Amino acid sequence: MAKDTLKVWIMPTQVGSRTGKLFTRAVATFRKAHPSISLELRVLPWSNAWAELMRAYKRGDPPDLVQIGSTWMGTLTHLGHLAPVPDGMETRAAVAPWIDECVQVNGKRMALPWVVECSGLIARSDILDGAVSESGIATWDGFLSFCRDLGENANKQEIDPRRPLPVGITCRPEPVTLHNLAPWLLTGGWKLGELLAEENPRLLSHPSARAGLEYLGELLRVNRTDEDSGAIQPYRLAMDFYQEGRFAFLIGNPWMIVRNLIDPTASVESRWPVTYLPIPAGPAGSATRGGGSVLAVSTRSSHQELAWKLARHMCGSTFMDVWCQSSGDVPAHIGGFWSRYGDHPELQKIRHALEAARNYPPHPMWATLERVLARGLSDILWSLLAGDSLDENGMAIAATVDEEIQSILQTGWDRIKAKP
Amino acid sequence: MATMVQVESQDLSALGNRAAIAMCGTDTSYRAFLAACKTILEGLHDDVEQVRIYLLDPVDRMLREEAVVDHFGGQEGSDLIPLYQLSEEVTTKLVGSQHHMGDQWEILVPLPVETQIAGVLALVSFQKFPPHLEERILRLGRSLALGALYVRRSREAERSMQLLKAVTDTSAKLQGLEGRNILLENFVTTAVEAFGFDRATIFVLDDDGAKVKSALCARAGFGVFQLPEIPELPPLADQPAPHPHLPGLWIPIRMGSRRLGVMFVDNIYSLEAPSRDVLQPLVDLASQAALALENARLIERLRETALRDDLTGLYRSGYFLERVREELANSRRRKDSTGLVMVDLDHFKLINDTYGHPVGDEVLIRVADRIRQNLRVGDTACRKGGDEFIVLVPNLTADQGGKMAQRLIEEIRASPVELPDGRLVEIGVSVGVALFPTHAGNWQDLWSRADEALYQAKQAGRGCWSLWNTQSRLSLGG
Repeated sequence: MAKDTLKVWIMPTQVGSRTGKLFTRAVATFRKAHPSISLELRVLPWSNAWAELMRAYKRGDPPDLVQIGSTWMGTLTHLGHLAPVPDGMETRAAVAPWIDECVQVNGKRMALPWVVECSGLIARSDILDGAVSESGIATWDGFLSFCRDLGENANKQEIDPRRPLPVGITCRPEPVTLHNLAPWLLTGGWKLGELLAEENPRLLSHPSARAGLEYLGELLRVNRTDEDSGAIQPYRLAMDFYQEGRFAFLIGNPWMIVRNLIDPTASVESRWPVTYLPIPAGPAGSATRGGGSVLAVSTRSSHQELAWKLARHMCGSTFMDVWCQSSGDVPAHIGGFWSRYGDHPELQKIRHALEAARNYPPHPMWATLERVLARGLSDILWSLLAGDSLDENGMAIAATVDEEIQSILQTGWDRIKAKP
Repeated sequence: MATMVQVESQDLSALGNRAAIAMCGTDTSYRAFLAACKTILEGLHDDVEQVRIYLLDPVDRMLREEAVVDHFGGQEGSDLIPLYQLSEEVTTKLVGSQHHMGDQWEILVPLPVETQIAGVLALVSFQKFPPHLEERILRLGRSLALGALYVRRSREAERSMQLLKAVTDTSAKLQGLEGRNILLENFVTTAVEAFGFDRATIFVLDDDGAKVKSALCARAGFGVFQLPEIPELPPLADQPAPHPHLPGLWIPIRMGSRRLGVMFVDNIYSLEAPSRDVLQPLVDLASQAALALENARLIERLRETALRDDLTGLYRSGYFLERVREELANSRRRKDSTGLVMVDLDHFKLINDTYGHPVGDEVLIRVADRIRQNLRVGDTACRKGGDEFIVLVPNLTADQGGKMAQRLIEEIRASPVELPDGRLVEIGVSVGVALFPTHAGNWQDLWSRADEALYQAKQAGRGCWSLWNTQSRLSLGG
């Protein structure tokens, strides 16, 4: 008898070439329970996932089940590509309320939360110990002052783990740059959510973004970030931090901390003791950006019921126990992983940050806007890196980006009650 | 020192040629690259763990991974590398670039075409590729580049053929189609389905070419829909123009020097840059759209002429009846009332007999003008024949119907026709009003009720109006 084939697309951040094997292991019990189903896995890099997904939807040949970034929910639902979660499909409670909000679009649950992340500061404990307390760098001023000292003492000639550069920051024109740096703008008072609700929003050129941009410029200067280090690809940057000891801090997702915690035998590990810290508090207090991935089923899928069954399996402990060990991903739901490891001080800090995080505002064009914002933020950072002051060039770039965003929003005429 | 026996001992130019030949079949999909990757891995299986080939898209300057093969098998690639992320070694100096990835080494080898790259070959190994072997590996890339170039050119040719076919198919499809909307639906659908855009929108301009009067949009996977609101558009250019901030193109739709509309195709969601070869077929499509729009306009004008009374320009009763049926159905859905207002000239025969038919015609034209001036958007007026007129007024209450009738009587009375000798010919009308569904449940009864009300107004002495009423049968005014 011919088997039903479920096409599954996932975009692991850190698993790499072992994804296929790992996935096969993690779905073993599901396959046993559903012998008539054949699973066809496609692994995509995040850099190409959106374009590939859009092409598949346009061709009319999308995956049945797909991992998508939580920020894509609004757009994909608006485009009519996602099937609502069937009534009565129960899942465990989410680690933080905003995670459930991410999957609700116009009052309907359109996906299952899967894994979550929040940008933070990952610090080398060996550099902090004896030099500064965690509370000493818990504010913008304290952190900048400590980074200034590190920058002055850093070995500028070569990578020197004992005299590292302060912070690994990527300025590349990619969404990851926005994800990592948005919390700094938010702690500076950036009112992204409120601004986006306006008809012709000014986002980056709004006065509320200014403090954060100024601070990032100062941090880049203190950090002695140059063209080479500002352009490093995020994974390489992480490896420079964890393996080479090039920086004292890394801004990003603490996947390595999680992975090493639950799988000390992992092939790639941090050569230095590292700890997770929240983004230092700025004039608007503390804030971080939360996000993650959700599991969604395509409206075009002819196996929706099966796809939801698999999605539910992938959210369960059997799958997650295997998956998190290698990926360093953190499950979106309580129980399982959180019951087992949640008492660890590092995970408690991560949990606390997740609970306090804010996700991006839901918007049907967010997937487009976040790329424009990321490019705009990158342009401003490069201008600051080149030595321009924010007033000389940065705010002009911000105004141009905002004009671009307004122009795009004006072109979104299919957002208005479009009916076939 | 690390050794790579196969890299060192093989003729890598020959291996590259074999891989390039594997790409030169009829299949130009990722499978061509898969075959090449397999050929290379077979040749270097002791030294290399994984082989990947990237092809450069010259439009968006992205390197797309076409295929990836390792010792466990192969599959379609899915990685994407912006060209700017590659080191200058690879892109400009056309030499290899090696880096450490966990416990493996990866070398990126340019696939050079003259001074630029057509793609990149990635080889992954547990050993570092020794510097003295780099020239040999570069030779592999140079040979392989021919295959990559072949696939790229073949794909471009295939794509051009597809686009050409889309235009000719649309042209053929149009032969049997009538009606502006159906034609436009076909254009926007073709732009989305055959050209692969996220959306295509056609804005149809009014006869002066100045203002958008309607807009139709198709979105991939969603279908075609009329825009409920006309957005504000930038100044329209006479030539195709890119959107300044989006992967999108404005294509003017012109007939000679006349602007009929504009088509906007975009990738607002996928943000993929449209390929360069898409412009000319889109311009061709817009030319067809122009022709179709112009034909539709002429047909509509002819149809309009056929529907209208030659003397007064009001609708003839055939079309009017269609509108009445249609509007009563709408009214039923909306749960509101619709009125029929019947207007008849008083003593028209006397005017004709006294002043002659040319004056009689002038009087009819004057009455039609006054009626036309009192129409709201959505109202329809008709010359029923002779000296009788009817107005269909959606969403009309009894009170509003009475006021409208009174206004017509007064305005017509105040507009006498002046004869050449300066004398004035006074015009009087009687008006009957009936409402759906209050007075009648179908169009035939409604028509009769309005006629009865008109008759009653005539009986009451002319120059007045009456509303059909179920209780007293009629109420009079005027």
